[in-house]
Amino acid sequence: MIIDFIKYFILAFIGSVAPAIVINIERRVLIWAGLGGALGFCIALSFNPASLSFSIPQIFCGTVVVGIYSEIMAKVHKTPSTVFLIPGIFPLVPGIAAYQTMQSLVENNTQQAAAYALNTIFKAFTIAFGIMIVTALFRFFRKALKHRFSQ
Amino acid sequence: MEQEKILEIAVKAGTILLRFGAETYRVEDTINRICKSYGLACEAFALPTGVFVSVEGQEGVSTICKRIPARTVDLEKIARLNDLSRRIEKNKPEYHTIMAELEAISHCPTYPRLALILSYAFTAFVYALLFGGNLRDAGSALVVGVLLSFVRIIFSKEITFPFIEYFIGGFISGLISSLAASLIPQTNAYVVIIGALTNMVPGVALTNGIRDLLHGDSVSGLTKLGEALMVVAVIAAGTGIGLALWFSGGS
Repeated sequence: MIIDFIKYFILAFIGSVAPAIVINIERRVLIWAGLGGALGFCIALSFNPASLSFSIPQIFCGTVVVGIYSEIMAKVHKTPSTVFLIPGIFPLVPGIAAYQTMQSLVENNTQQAAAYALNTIFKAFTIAFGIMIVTALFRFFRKALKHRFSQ
Repeated sequence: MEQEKILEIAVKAGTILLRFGAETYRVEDTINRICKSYGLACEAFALPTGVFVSVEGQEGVSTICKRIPARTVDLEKIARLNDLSRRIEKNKPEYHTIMAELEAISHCPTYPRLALILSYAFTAFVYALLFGGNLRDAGSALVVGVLLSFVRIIFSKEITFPFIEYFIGGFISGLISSLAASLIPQTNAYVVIIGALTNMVPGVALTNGIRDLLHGDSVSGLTKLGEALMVVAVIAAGTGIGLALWFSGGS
């Protein structure tokens, strides 16, 4: 099981670094962007190591971890947090649900396709919602801190 | 420094930010910050397709409106400009220094083309594995990923209809993956397709759209989220047509 985790950690790491190169992230933070994606993926996986098809709570936790990681890393490396956030959510993209949708559609199983499609959409919204919550929270804390120090 | 020159710097910085995929609030914030560091009252209004800046100083009111014709994503430029705007605030450098630096940022080198092709290939390979495929699926996905990187390189040069790149990408994935699945035993065409198409997930539009919405920039936020939805719909249409062609013609 540990070996599985190491394997998926490496895969998710490559899976975040490669999209990071496509959106042209600075070389000095490339490794950190990859680590964020791998971390989020492994946290999500640790709730149910048997399946790679994540449930909605798993995706939510993964996204929140990636979000917090990005905000912290943005402070450490003095760079916008999107640099870590965008590559980090790639491993959480609901690909399995998407291909099940497609498969059912091609096999003319419309009812199952509709169920899978809804599942895919919900999972995509979960990622969006996770980003939203973390960004809003950090913005709130930053404002509160600023307010306190200015007094 | 003269008012005109400050305005020129601010608008140039804003244009670079918008062209290379920054959030709307970052654009407005940077413009305001630059103008304020030189003691000008400023009002900036940015949309995904253009920016308006109006400053008020001793020389009266001046306004510039700049249209952004084409946008790409390049986060290194955003990070460097972010850094520059903070330095302007602190040191208030001369006009020529800032202009030279803005010029350098807008021409700063990207990764070599080979790195782009390899990252497309690796993304496809890795995600085919992560989505439950075997090594054969991943190998086919790698080939499709390389093809997708060619599509991207060709269409990033010519500015045409913005979504055509995604349509052709989906079409190629649908067709080549079905071909691979029929030639190579134990290959799941759908895993190959989704693995390869992970390259085209509109991650930047999604993330920036949400961040804009949270900042109250509802026009930009909804535009970007709409763009992300549109990209997904176009990819799905392309893939569907590719698959349909294969299933009606191939077997």
